[in-house]
Amino acid sequence: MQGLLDFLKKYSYGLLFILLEGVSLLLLFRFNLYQGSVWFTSANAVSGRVLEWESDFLSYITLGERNKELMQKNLVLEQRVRALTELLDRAGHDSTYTELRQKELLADFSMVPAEVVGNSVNKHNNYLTINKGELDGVRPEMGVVCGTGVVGIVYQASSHYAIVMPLLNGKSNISCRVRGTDYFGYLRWEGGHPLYASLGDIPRHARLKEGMTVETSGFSAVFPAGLFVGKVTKVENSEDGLSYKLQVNLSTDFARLRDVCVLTTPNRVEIDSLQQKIETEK
Amino acid sequence: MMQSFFSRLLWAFILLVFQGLVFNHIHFFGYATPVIYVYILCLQPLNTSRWAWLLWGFAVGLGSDFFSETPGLGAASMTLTALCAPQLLRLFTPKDCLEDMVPGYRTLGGWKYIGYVTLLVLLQEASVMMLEVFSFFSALDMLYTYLGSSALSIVLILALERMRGNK
Repeated sequence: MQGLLDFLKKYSYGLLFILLEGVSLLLLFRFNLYQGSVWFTSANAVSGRVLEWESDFLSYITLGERNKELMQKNLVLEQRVRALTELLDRAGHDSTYTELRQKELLADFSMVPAEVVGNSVNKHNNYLTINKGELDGVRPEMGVVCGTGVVGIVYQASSHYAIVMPLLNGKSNISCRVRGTDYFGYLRWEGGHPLYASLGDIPRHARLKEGMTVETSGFSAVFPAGLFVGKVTKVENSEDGLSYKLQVNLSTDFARLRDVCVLTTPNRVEIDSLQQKIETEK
Repeated sequence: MMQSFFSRLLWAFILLVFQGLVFNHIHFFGYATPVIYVYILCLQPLNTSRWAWLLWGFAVGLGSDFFSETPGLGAASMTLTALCAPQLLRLFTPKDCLEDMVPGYRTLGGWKYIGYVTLLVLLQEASVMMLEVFSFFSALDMLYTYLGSSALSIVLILALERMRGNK
């Protein structure tokens, strides 16, 4: 206490000056508009800078925790994105409906499941190789489908393997129609993007628009009617201008094709025997 | 001592009244306004305690603020001037002078007294200007005001001292 009193006594002059000057400046900034505004602006700038430093310091300290939270949120969001992407993919290819519909349509067919062991999508005439052959009941001219739609037609078969001519082959010619109409044409692939093919010979009086579904017409014994092929993305005029040519976004992604099914036609035996009879007569 | 105190008090009152009623309305060429209440610091004897200097400066400055409606401006500048006044006085005071010497023409000598008053007034004007303007926006105008007001104040204070000294 004595020390404090001695200190105050020693520096009373300076403390009194600080007190009186402080009171004067308080009056100056409090009761004078101009000086008050200058003080307010400067004080704002200073306090703003100090608060900014404080905020930077605090946010630096809590960086580790925030990092963990962000990582967790990231994982959740990645999962969500993956799920949404799959959902979108399925929705675009209408696969859920397609699968159900396929099951209905193929109820009378027996199917031989197979795996794609050889594939190409970058040639003008692409072929698939599957690991089922004649011993499994696979014969040429049989249709091949997958979970999302039509794949192609068996081209050649050996005992254990078969070559399939997919839609991505310049010689492929599958009869298809636009769902909801009776207009049909032949689906051909003209090279280029492996997800797009052309459906030609659609008459010009047909009322068509983008987004319409293309399915098998059933005009061959290979595929039953109604199997999902793809969706119309563009309606163009044919080269000769006499019909429409539809650009079809194929539902089957041939680049990622793994599991397929060969449709063993129930009337295949009858058709085979008829053909044999004709050849014998020749 | 009490007589001296009341005498200074009377001087302070007179200076403030004249400052508020007369000199605050003088603006030579739009620049120069005399400030004569600084003279109260020139009336403090050599042996005035330092806290008394401060209190005198604060009180007179606050008094001038009442007249000029600038609360705190005069008080802040006069307190600062009062802080430096004892040191300035000692610069001009001869070593063999009396302790209760009151600065004046006779006690300090003509030129020394003029020097003392000049420094006090310059310090006072500088602090008033800085607190009033808070920027160097129009530096030339500020310089004219500063020099003009200072010159006028010095002349008036010297005239007052001459009058007081002749009594």
